[in-house]
Order: sequence, then structure tokens, then C-alpha cells
Amino acid sequence: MNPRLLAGVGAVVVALVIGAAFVLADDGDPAPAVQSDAAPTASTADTSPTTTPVAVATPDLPNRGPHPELVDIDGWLQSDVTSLEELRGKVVAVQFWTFACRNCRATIPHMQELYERYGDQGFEIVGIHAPEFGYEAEVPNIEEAAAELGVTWPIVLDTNKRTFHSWQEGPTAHWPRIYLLDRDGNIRYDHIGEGRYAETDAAVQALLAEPS
Amino acid sequence: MLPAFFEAIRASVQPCTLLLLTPALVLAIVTRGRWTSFAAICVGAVLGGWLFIANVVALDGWQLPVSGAVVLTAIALVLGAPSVPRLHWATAASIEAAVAGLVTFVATLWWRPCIGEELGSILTGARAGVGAELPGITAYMLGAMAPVLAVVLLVRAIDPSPVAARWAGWCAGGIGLVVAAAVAVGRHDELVTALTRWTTS
Repeated sequence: MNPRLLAGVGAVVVALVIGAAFVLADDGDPAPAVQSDAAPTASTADTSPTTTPVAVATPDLPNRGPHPELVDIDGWLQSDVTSLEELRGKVVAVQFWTFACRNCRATIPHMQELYERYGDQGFEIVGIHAPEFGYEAEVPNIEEAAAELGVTWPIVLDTNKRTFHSWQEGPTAHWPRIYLLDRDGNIRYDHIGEGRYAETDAAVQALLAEPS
Repeated sequence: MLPAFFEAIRASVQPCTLLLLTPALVLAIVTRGRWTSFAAICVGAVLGGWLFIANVVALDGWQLPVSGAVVLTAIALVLGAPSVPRLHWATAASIEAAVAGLVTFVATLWWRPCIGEELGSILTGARAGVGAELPGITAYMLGAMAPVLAVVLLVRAIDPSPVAARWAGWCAGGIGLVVAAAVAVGRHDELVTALTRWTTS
């Protein structure tokens, strides 16, 4: 076959593969875990993520020691508490995020589900907002984004990203990253990036089930 | 590994990866879609990916301006190579390939990855041990190079005349030089911000 024609066909195929990667992309595993012995209810016919039962094994939850301090923060939004110590006795999800990060935004609906499901069972979320770009550091922009995205949990302002870097080992830190703290403030679970929502849900359940 | 490959393909056309790809795309055009250069670009990207998940290099600080200067110099070198008298074509091709690999490797410092589910799992796993995640990040980086492969094939399909190829090379090289110069003078974040806001506006 003519090499030029072959290359042209190849270019079209690669372009189609790139397009297919978008078309065929699923949304990860949006279905949260439920207790494996939970009885299905009528609402399980609903395909929404909040009601689809998926049994997921509880991940290992090794005790990685007490969480680091919040370093050089600029305050809290949407909160009466002013330190993580005030949340002792609760299972806390600490999520590093910034509002323009598309992967962070993709996690928000799943965080909302956790908050709605376990918020009255001793579970709290703290979103540590560590801006990547200048416009993300402006508090009005953060407040506007939080309202738009439905972030109703406490937000810590980490404008200089000192906490962002002090919590994450090595020179590179990432958004989004979630840590689960047990009722004593120890780090028990850690995940970088989107996804693993069912696993995170199972970890929250397991930590809530631990005696305080 | 396949999900990582496809996640990277999706990320490759987003601002987070576009800056990493810019020098590779430029070099694919400047080197007229030469396969040796494309192979070197892939090797450079994979090695950069390994370095990234090893978490030993900071994503900012002095490394960024230095990397910008290195890429600037390298692209200028490749653009100038054809004017070197009596340079054997095989020697020129080897230089181009070496430079393409080096530039892509260095440009991985410019990468602000979109951390989706697959890359997130790779990074989380790498905290426990990098070795087990090398196949995953290799697949990811190869997936991220899909647009470069498309450009390589396109250039080969068009097979431009020497004059047209030279002009295309100068145009692409000019873009590469401007981007590299911007990184060299500390404007990397502004570039990423501009790309991000442009694509999300």
C-alpha cells in the first residue's frame, strides 16, 4: 500500500481512538458501597448512585499515626470549628481540593453523598482549599464555587499551600487527595485522584463502626 | 493497563497535559514525522513519568526555569541543524531523535496532571512502592502521546515538499520557542492558567 495513504489511514484511526476514549469513558465507580447485608429497597431500582447497592470489601485501614497540623492557614469558611482537634470523636474526611481542578470537581457529588449518608452518624468533611492559580485564592471566588458545586462542609483556606505540602510526603503534592481520620485523629485511609468511591464509602462505614 | 492508557488519551487534549505535549508536538513537526524521533519522544515521556511517580522531583522551584532554558536551547538546536553544512542525514536524524527524547523528558516537569481514577491509583500505589506501578505509568504516558502519533502520521501522510516542511518546522518551532521562553522566565503557571481558563470558559 502507498505509505502516504497508510499514514493517512493511521492518522484517522488515531483520531478515532482519541474520540472513542471520550465517548466510551465511564464515570468511574460512582455507586457507593452499602452494608453487604443491607436489604435492597424499592428505591434500588433507581439507577442513581445514591441508591445502587454495591458490596465492596472494606480496605485495609492501617493506623498511620496522628494527622499533621494545619499549617499557616488563612481561616475557615462554612464552619464553627477552627481546628481539626475540635472534631475529635468524629470520623473526618480531609480532602485537598481547589475549585478549578476538574478532577476535584468530579469528586464533589460523591463527597456530597458521603456527607448526606453519614453526616448525622459522627462523620464530617473538611475541604482544604489549596489554590493552584491566583484567581482560585480569592475568597469570593471560592465561596461562589462552593455554592455552585454544592460544597456545604467546612472549608479551610490554605492559600500558601503550606498545609497542602506538609501533609503530603515528598516534593510533589496532588489534588484531589482524601485522607480519612478515625475518631482519635489518626490517618487510616489515603487516596489520590478521582475514583475508589465505593472503597472510600466502605472505609467510612468501617471507621464509624469502630468503638470510640 | 488499558484503562490507564485510555484515561491518558482523554487527558492528552486537556490543559493539564497540553503543556507537556507542546514540545513533543513541535518536534514531531520539525523532524518531519520521523519515526526515530517519535520513538525517542515516547521513551522520554515514559522516563519522565517514572520520575514523576517516584516523587523525587518538585513540580516547581528552580527546575521549571532551567527546564524552559533547556527546551529553548534544544529546539533552537534542532531548528538550526539543517543549516549545518555537510551534516550526514543519519547524523542529523540521530541528533534530532536524541534532542526530541531529552526535550520530552525535561518537559515532563511542566506536566500538571489531571489525576483521574487510573492515574490516582497509580500515584496512590506508588507511595507504597514505585516498582509495581511502572507498567501502569508506562501505559499512561504512551496514551498521553496519542496526539503526537496523530501528528506524526499526518505529517507522513501529507509528505510536504522540502520548502513547505521547512516553513512548517519554523512555525511549529517558533511556538515551541515562545512556550519554552515563557517557562524559562517563570511564566509557567500563567500558561497553565490561561490554558485552563480558555478551555473551561
